[in-house]
Formats: sequence, structure tokens, C-alpha cells
Amino acid sequence: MGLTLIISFVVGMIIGFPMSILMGGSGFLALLVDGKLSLLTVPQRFFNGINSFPLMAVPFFILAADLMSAGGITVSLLRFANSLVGHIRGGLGHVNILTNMLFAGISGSALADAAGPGALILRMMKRAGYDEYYAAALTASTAIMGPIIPPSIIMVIYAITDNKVTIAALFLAGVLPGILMGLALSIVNHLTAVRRHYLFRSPLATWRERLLGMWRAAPALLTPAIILGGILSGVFTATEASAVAVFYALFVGFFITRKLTLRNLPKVVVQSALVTSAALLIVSMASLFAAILTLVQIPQTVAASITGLSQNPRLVMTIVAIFVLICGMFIDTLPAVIILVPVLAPLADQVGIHPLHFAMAFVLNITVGMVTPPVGAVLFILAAVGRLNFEKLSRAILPMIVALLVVLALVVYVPAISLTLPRWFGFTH
Amino acid sequence: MPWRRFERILVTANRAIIFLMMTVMATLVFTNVITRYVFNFSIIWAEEVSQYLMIWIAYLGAGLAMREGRHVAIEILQDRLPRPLGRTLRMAVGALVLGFLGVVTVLGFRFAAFAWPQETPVLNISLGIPYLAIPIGAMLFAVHLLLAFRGYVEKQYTPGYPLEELSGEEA
Repeated sequence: MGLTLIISFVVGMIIGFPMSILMGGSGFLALLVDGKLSLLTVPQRFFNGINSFPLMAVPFFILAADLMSAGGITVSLLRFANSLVGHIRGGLGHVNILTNMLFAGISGSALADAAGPGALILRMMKRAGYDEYYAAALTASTAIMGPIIPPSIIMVIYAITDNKVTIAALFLAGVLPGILMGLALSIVNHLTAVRRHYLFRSPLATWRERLLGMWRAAPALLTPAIILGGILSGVFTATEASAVAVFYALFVGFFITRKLTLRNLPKVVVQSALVTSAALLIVSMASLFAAILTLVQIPQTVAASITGLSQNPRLVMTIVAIFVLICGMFIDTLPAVIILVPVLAPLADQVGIHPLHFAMAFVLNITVGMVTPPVGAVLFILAAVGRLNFEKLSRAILPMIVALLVVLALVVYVPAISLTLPRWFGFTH
Repeated sequence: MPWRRFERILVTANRAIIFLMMTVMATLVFTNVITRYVFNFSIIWAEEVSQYLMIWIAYLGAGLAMREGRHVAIEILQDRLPRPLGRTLRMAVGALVLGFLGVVTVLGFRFAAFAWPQETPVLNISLGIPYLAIPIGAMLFAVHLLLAFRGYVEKQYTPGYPLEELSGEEA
């Protein structure tokens, strides 16, 4: 049964099955070959896999970010970032990083960041004279701050999969690693600007211009405050916060930026619904896959073989990190969370790694997989948006991957990076 | 072409339903937050209804998501193979997806029928009603895939909606 599951999954992945259908399909095949369990398990697991109130934060965070984008907020964030760091050497590169960090406070998905502000900045960098491969590689790596800086779709799914961590605590844990990613990428950008003699400074903005930029971007800058503030003060749950964010974005779009109208609203809502559908279909079908994995005791086997090697938390973290990194090169983030977390989280617990620290390291680890070849969803999007050669882009992004791996190593080996903020707010002891 | 006409109506109706469900779902959860903090009461059925709506959206949107190329797949092999071979492979994958959607439709209807006598916790409607999302969604997905099979094989997707261009601004 386990063998059928794994073989059909790997073969299906190679021949290009849609991931969601593939995980449902190989689960079904495994049940069919085994013949002991009722096939009605299939629809039952599909249903239960997404029958969750906390999961509703996923559609709402997607919708809130889309409404904000459609409301024209991306451009005001970009202008604000430009007034702050545009005058530095390699200015637009730093603007790219800062804009995506700010946008990450609204959006919970790297794909949205890459397709939204990412695509916009990529065009600007190209026009300014940056090498298009460098620009696209930088944009890809800044986009993956989206799921690290709260809110985050991956974190919502993680917290649903592993009941030892809460969405709120994981959101908080992501703040410092997110800032570290921004810093690491700024260093790469600075070194590249020096090495390639990039200047491209915008004129230095006056403080008046900066304040004006901040005022224009204020509706967007307030969103993370509403989401995190609301959750942390206990006013609402993450799901409720996401719904509030939706209506806040509607308010901003209709009354402040006035870019949303009753005519374009349905298109935006349907688009968010379709993004939601594709993501939830993966969650739904992967839960059958994960259930069968557990049934044939693969998590236990993997755990035993790793703890057989070592019981040392750091060593186990290292082994797990390398394992997840390799998985992340091939598997998309959401399926990876649903398949791997039930396997690895109990193992981490067993050797005494703090569940929240492990969760943060895992999320960052699997997110880096979105920009690593051969299979990186964000890399694919930017290659498509910029009409670039995928192999060349994969090579251009190597320096950024090195920088991101340094951050990953820090997060893996220094628990305080993940745990300090949650501890301040009383989420850990 | 009567087929194309049917397809247009199907897509429009499908989008309209998704829009309605998404709107109701968001409004319910938001209203519930407001009523709880401002008026100190909760709409008890809001949570259950919105949760089931999400499941319906996930399954009813899957076919449309396919039309826009939103279901991720690793297409390296298909793209690397010589063109006719890659196309054949893609057709085979498409056919297998259709077959699986057929299986899910049948199993889903059987499961909904099996659960029909049970009731949901709050509304006390038949549990089969939320369960129906899966077979109906899978069936709809299959119909979309059949109608747009050529588009799927050639990877000619309906473009998504560019949110930034909507705001009409260039930085």
C-alpha cells in the first residue's frame, strides 16, 4: 500500500500531473490496491481535510491582499520605499526588497508577491538598466518574504497540521527571520551593485516627500498592525482578523484610493476564489495522501531511522533541514507541509526541539524551495512574467540562495530568532 | 457552435456562483466579529455556513482554476520531450485526470448518500448537503476539462486578472 502510494506519486510527478489531483489519485490507487479499506475514505478525507474554521484565514488573506493590490496600494508602497532607500547605490534593488517586505505584511503568499509588486518592480529595474536576470532573481527571492513575514498562508496550514503551534505564535515567530532575509538580500544587492558598477540612484527624497509617501502608503502599512494587533490583543482569532482585513481593504479601495468599483470588484473576488480553490484542493487531496502515509507508519519509520542516527537536537535539526531542503526543491510548499509535518514534527518533539522553533525553521526551509531549481513555483512565475530562460534564471539566483541559506542556518541553530518575539507576547514559556 | 455557447454560459454561471459564495462567506464571518464586539451576540450558524461555503468554493472553483492554469504541476519532462511526444504525454495526463475526476464524482455521490440521514451540528440540515460539494465540484471540473481539453494540452489558458493594471497606475 505504501509502495503503491510512493511509486504512483513519483511517477505522476515526473509526467506532470497537477499536484492536487496527483495526491488524491495516488491515495485512491493505494486504497484500491490494498482493498481492505472502504473507498468512501477518499471523499471523506477530501472533505475533512478542509473542513476547518481556522483554514478560512487562507481565502480571506488571499482576498484582502488582492483587494489591496486592485486598490492601487502596491504603487504607493513602491513610491514610499523609493523615497526611503532609492538614493542608495543599487537603489531600485533595495526598493525592491523594502517594497516586498512591506507588501508581505498584507499578503501571505509568495506567488501573490511575485505576480503583484514583484512583476511591477521587475519591469522598473529592467527599464532602469539592470541586468534582467539579476532583477528577476532578486525579485523572486524578495517575494518569498511574503509567507515568512505575517500574515502567511503556509503558517496557517502548518498550525492546522500540527496542533502544538498556534497561528498567532507562528506569525510572530516569522517577523525576525523575515527582517533577516531582507537584510541578507540587501547585502547581496549591495555587493552586486559594487561589483557590476550599478549606480541607478534616484534623487534623494526630502523628509517632506518621505512623510507624504508614508501618508499615501498608510492604509497598506496599517494592515499588519490591524491583523497582528487584533490577534495578539485577543480581540479576534486569525480567521476573524483575516475577514476584518478583507473589509478594511474594501473600505480602503472604495473610499480612500477609490480604485475599486462595483464593476471590477467581482473580477477581483473571483480571482481570489480561484487562487483559493487551487490551494485548498491541494490541502484537501493531500490529506488523503497524508492519512495513508500515517496508516502505513511511514512517519514512525522515518522518525526511527533519524533518531537511530542521532538524538542530538542540533544534529537532528541539520539532518531534517537538509532533507526538507531537498524535498522543497521538488515539492510545492503546501503539499510539503501536509505530507512532511506529520512525519517530522513529532520527531522534533521527541528530541526536545521547541515545536515553534521547529515550525519556523520548517516554514522558512520549505519556502526557500520556491526559488530553488529544478522546481520552484516563484522562479517559474518570474521566468514567465519576464519571458526569461529558466536555466539562466536558475543560475542568476544562486547568490541569493546562498544568502537565504545563511538566514536559514541562523534560524535553525539560533532558536532565539524564532522564539524571542512569541516569548515577549507570552506564547512560549 | 452550440457547444461554445454552452461553455460561455457555464463559465459565466460558475463565476457568478463563486462570487456569491465568496461574498456571503466573508460577510458572515465579518458580521459575526462585529455583532460579537458591538452588540455582544453571535450568529450561531455563521461559522458552520461559512465553513461549508469554503468547501463548496474550493470544489466549484477547481474547474475554472484549471482554465486559468492555476493548478501547479511539474512540467519539465513534458516541455523537454520532442513536441509530439510531450503533447501525447499531456493528453494522457489529461485523460487520467478526467478518469480520476469521474471516480471522485461516483464515490462522492455515494458518500453523500451514505451520510444523508446524519445532520450537521448547528443547522441540523442533512450532512449530505455539504458533502455534495465534492462530487458536484469534481463533475464540474471534468466538464470544464472536457470543454477546454485542447487548451489544457496546448497550455493555452484564460489569462488571469492583472490586479495592478486595474489601478491604472505605473510607478
